[in-house]
Amino acid sequence: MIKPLEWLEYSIKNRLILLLFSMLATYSFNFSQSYAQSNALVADLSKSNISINTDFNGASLLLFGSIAGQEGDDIIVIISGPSSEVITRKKSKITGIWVNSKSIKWKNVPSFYQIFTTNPLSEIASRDVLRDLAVGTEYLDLKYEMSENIETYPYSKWVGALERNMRSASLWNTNEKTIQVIRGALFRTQVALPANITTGDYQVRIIHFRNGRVIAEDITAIAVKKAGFSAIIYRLAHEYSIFYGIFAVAFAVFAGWLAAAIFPKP
Amino acid sequence: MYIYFPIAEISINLFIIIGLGGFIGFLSGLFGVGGGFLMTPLLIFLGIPAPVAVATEANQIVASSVSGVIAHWRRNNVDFKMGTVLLLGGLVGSSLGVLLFALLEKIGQLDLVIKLSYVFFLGIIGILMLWESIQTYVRYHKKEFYRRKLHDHNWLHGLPLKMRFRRSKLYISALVPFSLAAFVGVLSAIMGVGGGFIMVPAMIYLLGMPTSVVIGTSLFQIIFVTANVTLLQSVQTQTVDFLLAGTLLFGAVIGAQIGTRFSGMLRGEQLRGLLALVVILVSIRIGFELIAMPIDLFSTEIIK
Repeated sequence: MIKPLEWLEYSIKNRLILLLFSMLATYSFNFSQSYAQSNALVADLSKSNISINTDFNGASLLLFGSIAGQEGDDIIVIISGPSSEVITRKKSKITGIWVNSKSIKWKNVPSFYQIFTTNPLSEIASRDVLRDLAVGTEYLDLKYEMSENIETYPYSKWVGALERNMRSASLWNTNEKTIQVIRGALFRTQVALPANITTGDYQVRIIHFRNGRVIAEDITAIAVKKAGFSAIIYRLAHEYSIFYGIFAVAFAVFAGWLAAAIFPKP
Repeated sequence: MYIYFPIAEISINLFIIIGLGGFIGFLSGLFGVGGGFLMTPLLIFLGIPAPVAVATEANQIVASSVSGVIAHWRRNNVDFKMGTVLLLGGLVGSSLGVLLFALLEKIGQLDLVIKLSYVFFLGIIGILMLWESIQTYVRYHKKEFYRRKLHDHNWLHGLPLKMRFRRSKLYISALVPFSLAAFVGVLSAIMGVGGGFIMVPAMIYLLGMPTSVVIGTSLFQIIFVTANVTLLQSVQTQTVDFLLAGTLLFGAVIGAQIGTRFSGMLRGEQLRGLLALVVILVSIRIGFELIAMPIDLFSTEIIK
């Protein structure tokens, strides 16, 4: 039960918060309007829904947009995929064979992380600026669990291994000098999503730089999901796994019988 | 033409998969073996995750065993009583195998155990088969023939729960085939094979079954063991890729028909000698992966 006096206090507090929010909202609305007018950055994708059907073999899409830019401006695009749980394992030689020994379980690794730029990253902005904007896999705030004491193997080697493995799977990459800017007003870049991407929502951040400082930013998204026959099989396997199993066995028995019926043994 | 396999979550050229199915089907038709022991390592080699390769191959073996057993059944070459004892053991073993599989996957040692089992069992069976076929070949050329005893009597015949298997002309303890099948069942679940390459020699040399009923009976019990693995893996790990199994099967059915027609051109011991060489090569190839220094000591896997 709320006592009358407490209720009064509660209500005043609520009203104050409400007032504060409405002020903030008006302010930010005005701000964003003026922000957009002076530093207009508009970006779009040729395709924002990627369907993984049975004919899927990666996707290629075009990211394009306009900036209120001038000669010498830079753009950085960061595409990051859904946060995943990932295990990195290290092999050791035990009695002559290579065996997985130590491991680290990462809790929140972006399953996809690619950067596209107009120029080498180091020329666009300083490390401090990039760190504040969290641009680059080295500034990811990774949470993890080690199988053993962290001192036995330096953390940086594990991060390095994660980065190397994700790169070789073409999931992480820094594609420098891949964005073309046309007359300081239009930009475009080709984005290749490999066939082994995870389903989920991909965030696309576009940042406009001038003399090492951010002058505009835009965010858009790509939705990747399974579709068609591929989605049906996946859903059946995961949601109705018993029936899926029975069906798989029944189909195999039928196919085997059919094969024997069509091709009688000599 | 690429096709995306929804459970394996990998895109592979359709003709590679059909061709692989056809090639393994050809060898299985030629040698009269299931071919799982070749298919599963090749699928893993193509980049299909080991759990998916093993579970999907079990699904495919169900089909190839059904089509194989029908021909043997028509010729009355299946000992159903022995088959039933074997399949009961196989069900127990393969269920344990699926549990063990999940445990190994959890601790990150599944790949290692799969590879070690391949190296060890294929190595032993391959060498034994090669030895046997060389001996037969030498004897054939020396024109030495002798009548082999039906089977030898040893301590295995002293075990309790004796049963009479008329079709196999045996009176032995049911515990022997039961435990044999249970053991092969565990391997079947972990290696993604039917287990015929262990079961068939064991039935001949250990149980002393007549060669004529061995293959039919083995195929009969493999149907149930692999069906059990398919079902349990579907429920436990959701790693059975129905689309992949179907595509492989399509190639395998055609390959097997061609293989069967070629098998008449070679004599039994020549076929066995060749098969032994294939088995030994696969064993060496996988063994090499275990001892060669990996390109990268670290590996990363997205769990979810």
